[in-house]
Amino acid sequence: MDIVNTAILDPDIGWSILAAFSVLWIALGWYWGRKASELDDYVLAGRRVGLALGTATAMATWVTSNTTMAAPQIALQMGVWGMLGYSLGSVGLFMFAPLASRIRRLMPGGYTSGDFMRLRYGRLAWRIFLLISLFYSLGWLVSMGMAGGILIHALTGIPYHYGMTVILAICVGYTLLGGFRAVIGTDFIQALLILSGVVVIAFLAIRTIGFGDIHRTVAAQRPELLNLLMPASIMFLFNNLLFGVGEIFHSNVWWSRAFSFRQGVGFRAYALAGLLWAPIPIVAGFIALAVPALSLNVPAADMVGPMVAAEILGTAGAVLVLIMVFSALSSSLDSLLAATSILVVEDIYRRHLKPDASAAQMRTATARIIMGLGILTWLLCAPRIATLAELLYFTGAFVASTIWPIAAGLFWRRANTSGAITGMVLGSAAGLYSYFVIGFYVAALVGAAVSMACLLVASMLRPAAYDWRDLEERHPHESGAAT
Amino acid sequence: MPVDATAQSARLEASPEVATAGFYQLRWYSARPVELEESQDPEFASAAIIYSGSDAARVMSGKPDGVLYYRVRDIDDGTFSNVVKVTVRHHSLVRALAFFSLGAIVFLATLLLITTGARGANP
Repeated sequence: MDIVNTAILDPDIGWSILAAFSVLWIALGWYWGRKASELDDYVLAGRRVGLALGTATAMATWVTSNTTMAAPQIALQMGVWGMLGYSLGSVGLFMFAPLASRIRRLMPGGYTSGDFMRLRYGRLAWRIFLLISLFYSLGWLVSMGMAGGILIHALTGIPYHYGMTVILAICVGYTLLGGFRAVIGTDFIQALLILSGVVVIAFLAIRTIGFGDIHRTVAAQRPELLNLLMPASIMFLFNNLLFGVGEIFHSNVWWSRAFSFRQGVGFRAYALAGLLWAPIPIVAGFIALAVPALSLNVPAADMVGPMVAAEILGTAGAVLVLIMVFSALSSSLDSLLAATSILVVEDIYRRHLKPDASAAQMRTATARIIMGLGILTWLLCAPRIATLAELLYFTGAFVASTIWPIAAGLFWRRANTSGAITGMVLGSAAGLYSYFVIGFYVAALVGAAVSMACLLVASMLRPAAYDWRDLEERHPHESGAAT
Repeated sequence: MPVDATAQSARLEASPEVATAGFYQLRWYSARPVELEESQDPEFASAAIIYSGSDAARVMSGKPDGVLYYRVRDIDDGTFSNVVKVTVRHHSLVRALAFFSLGAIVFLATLLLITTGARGANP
């Protein structure tokens, strides 16, 4: 499992950085969370987030460790199209912009994407959706935890399990203390750190090595990476686009932001975030193409980003990378923990187990679920079953099958329940099959296509006539709502 | 020091052994530094040393169609590992373009749904 024996940073430096960040992040979590009293404050930051913070949180959440580590991995494996294809993940942010606006308008009292599925399609569809959503959330959490362990191992040689444990413990602690207000507050800082880090590393890579040497060595040693007709990378393009769309459309991480933004902010925040995010994976991916020019050995593809950055920049650069990717990790881990806990509390705890739960009980349940998710994630991270991209795109088979049920559910009143259900089930199955038979780079595409076909056929044969007013549901613990 | 070609030191694995996207990982189990050799010939009559050091794995990528053979040599005592064979066989371009087209159709249909829905659908 530990395959790096030539790490650039001393383990003591690694531990010092982790310790400093732990203290800083937990202090910030406590500071921002101390005023959250109402459930809305704790889970949705009071529904008053403005444009600047809204854009920053959307962009920072989408800049995950996957952007800084899986994007270079894809570039190393799939070449130029892989790099560009990864940036097509920004299309999901752009496409969610009109959805965010519509969600806020149709569901002023909504809390989760699960609320929407339940009201729009009924309980069976809602439960299938919950399974998919929880599975994806867990997969993403595991990828974050793994990335933490991989990053720290790659740069310092500290064993994978230690780094992974520390990352998870810090993020669980800070999310517990601060709730959603803390999550959004620190997103701004993390976004700045990530952006500046990526730009600096890419600029120095070009200045240190030069385009000419990078091109020449890749052409000599890994020629297919420059081949624009490399079949797998062509297949990857729309797969990644649709994976990103599916991730964003279905995940409560994004719906919770749509609910938390002030009225009128959502559309612009998501559109701006997409624009700002798009260049980042290209820059991050470009770094990976420097591997042959540096004569660097990369033991596992998901290590390439931090290893190349450290090689180019030396010890100082390795520290920079550690800080930058740690920020990316924590900004996404905490968002995911917060949003997943909301989904579990609302859609499982309150809707299935304790319908008359008080606000205080909901808050306690939220905290316990955050802890439970952290522990479960740790257990699943421990065996390190796959690389980051392989794990991530495994969930693509499932999430992409929710694209049409959600989009059609919001905009097309004829979309019916059986179409949504068969779309999610058959889409997931088809996507999963193609993942194993063809490759991880087609699973989301197949899932989305099959789901779309099922929903269209079912809804055209027996069109529904949905009344949008049925989506207006007030939460019993919302201020002003009748109890 | 004479090289004992029949004795095996490290154990070498490749995953996957049939690479349909040109990338795969070579992983070896050895407590000592090694040299990793690559050859198009199973007898390693002409081989290139592509890595020398203490790490325990290497990612290969961007390879064109073909068959490659690998082994590692213990730098200290000169013993060789088992030989692994990797076949790089990319998907056909026809298949790739078919998936690309399917993805484009799904994307454009989704875009159409959202843009026409956003213009026309009112609560």
